[in-house]
Amino acid sequence: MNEQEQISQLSALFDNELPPAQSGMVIRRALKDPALRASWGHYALIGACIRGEPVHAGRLPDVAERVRARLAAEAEHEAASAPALAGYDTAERSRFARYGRGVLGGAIAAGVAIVSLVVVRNMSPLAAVPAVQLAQAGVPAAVTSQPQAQSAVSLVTPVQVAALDGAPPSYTTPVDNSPAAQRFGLPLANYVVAHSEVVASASLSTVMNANYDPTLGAVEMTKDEIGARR
Amino acid sequence: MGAVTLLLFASVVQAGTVDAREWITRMNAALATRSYDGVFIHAMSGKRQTLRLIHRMENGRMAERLIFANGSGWEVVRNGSEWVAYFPDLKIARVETRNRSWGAMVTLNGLSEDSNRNYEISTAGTERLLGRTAQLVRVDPRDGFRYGYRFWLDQQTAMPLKTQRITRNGEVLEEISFLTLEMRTSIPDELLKPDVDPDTLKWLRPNIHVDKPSLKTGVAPRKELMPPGFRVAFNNPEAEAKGPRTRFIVSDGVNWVSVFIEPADKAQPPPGARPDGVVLMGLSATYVVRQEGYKVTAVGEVPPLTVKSIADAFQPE
Amino acid sequence: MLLSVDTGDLGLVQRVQKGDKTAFDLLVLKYQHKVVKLVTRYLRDPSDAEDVAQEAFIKAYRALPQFRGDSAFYTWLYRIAINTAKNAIVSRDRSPIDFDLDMQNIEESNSMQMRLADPETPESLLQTEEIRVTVNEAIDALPEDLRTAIVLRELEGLSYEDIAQAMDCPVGTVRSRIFRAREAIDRRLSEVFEGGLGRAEESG
Repeated sequence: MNEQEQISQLSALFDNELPPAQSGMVIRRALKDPALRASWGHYALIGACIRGEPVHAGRLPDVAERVRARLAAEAEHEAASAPALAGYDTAERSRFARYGRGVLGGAIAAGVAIVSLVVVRNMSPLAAVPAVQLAQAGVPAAVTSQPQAQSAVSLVTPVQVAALDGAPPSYTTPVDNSPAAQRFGLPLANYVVAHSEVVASASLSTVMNANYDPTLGAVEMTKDEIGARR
Repeated sequence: MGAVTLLLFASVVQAGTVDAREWITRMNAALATRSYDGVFIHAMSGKRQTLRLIHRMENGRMAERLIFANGSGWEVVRNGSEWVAYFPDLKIARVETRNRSWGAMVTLNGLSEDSNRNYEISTAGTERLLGRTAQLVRVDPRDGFRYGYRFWLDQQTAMPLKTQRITRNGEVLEEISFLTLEMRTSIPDELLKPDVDPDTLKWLRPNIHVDKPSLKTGVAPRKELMPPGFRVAFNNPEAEAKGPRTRFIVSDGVNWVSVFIEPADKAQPPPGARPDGVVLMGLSATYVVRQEGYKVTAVGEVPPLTVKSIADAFQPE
Repeated sequence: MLLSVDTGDLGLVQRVQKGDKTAFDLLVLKYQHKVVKLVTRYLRDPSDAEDVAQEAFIKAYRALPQFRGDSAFYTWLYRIAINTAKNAIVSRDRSPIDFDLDMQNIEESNSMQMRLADPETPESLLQTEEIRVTVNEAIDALPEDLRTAIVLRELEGLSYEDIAQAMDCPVGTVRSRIFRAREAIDRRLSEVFEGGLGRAEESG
């Protein structure tokens, strides 16, 4: 089956117009091939636009991504802790646990592993404010035009950001797709904890974060430590 | 001399500011001395939570209990500097430490005369809240490097009936608004104990391992590179007696940023990994920058660009 | 013969039931917009819609082993979504909190992403608008027979057979027209996504 025919079948499958005999193979391919999966998602988006339903920008979390992450997280959680999950054997559960990591990309895995962390992919409107303010307020150039050359990655300076004028500026770099993100995620969380130990302004907002994970970066206390606090 | 005169002049001219500052001072004092029991709604990022806050100040010792009213059984109990979060559904308790002088409610203890340069501090009339008269006090940021606050202070007690953390553009990032608030003369110990049996829980503590530095040269903030108004407020209480300082608290009096200096990672990030960038967690922004031989991490509940600018301002001495 | 209500969905459902949970993702992808729209009608605060939609999908996932296919998958999902939305209102009335913060509720989206996704932030408005404009422009640029076919399918919800009658052509042609329409729009969308939202003007 050539690629064209495959996609054509995917489209018919999407409309529930593909004979069951042909469905199996297309579904299997769609589950394996990220390009087909992306097309599938776009078909839904196209329909939503035509019907005037709410649409989501591809990079923002959509419901599918959240459901995926949560199911993967639950499976991970269950695989790690539940004694037995009715109806599913261990291999099955761990296979599902891997589902977030494997088929659906590292972004989810990182999201689950780090849970509370997110990297700004695009500069947020909030972040854009200071640059604009700088430009308007004539803040000493020193603040904004410091040399970036020593930095491990080259970042857009705020001045450049201001100059981009509407284009999506990005001085932040996406990291959460890489295994490295997981490696860096935990220490970063530790800094937040260390920060909130001294500074009060973090206290409520940290726990209130819907993705707050009390186990993040934590170790079990020893008997002595537990005893000492009583 | 000229600058001092100007400042005095500024504070005299802005009569409203003086008034607003008095209100903030009264609020700080109320939060630092009073005991109370209230239910509030916390709203952040489109999420709302109802919580009960029991706060006791007795003989200079603060105890506080924060109870999530969503059926999860979650609680946070403060006892002086100890902070314990209970998650009975997860069978976990997590112990951390906190600055003993600050509870769950925001106080603005760091305001100074200089703050007027970065914030417009004003009163903005009264409103009725919880059947009481509330004075609205605004701490509006003058630029995008900082977040501001709005407080609705009970005219009688100066307790914040409603608190908003806002951006320069007036967008509300976080809101705490009381549904009930009762000032108490005393609060029994029982009210400050968690409902969950501590023996049924697994006890966790954060495993903080911010590397001990072995820096050849000190790293210090270059004043001219810092965002306007931000300066080193204090060093880590446990700052090293000798050797380069590695922990700084940078503040403009209202917003607070922690800065950590560490030796650069021995292991280079794998190819393709780009660890530098602003990471957001709740309202905290964290930025890491690696320079030659060291790395700087800045964390704070401030706009992303602020942590970046502050981290970048730290240079070899 | 309109018995083949949702053979495609059923195929996916069966795969999930047999243990291939990844197939559920395709169902969520396919119906998320519809479900968000549906629950929005029941909620006072539209910003809750994504949470409720997510909840509905999770419930559907859990209930899927019991789904016997005696109705179309979407009809079944529709009922779950409405119930979830109604429950959300009730629990909201009882207590203003509706988001349990337990481990079961781990969401990929972090608060900042939520902030970005907040319909009121100019950036997300821009991106949403950009997608909409891209799709609409791509539809406008389609040859008329392709445009008619995709609109009859997506807006009117007609089956291929009904469209074939309306357009007076064989069912195979309908299938091909709809596919070609989607392919053309998809190509445009992919360009925008790959070029980065917000950069459409540069790349296009």
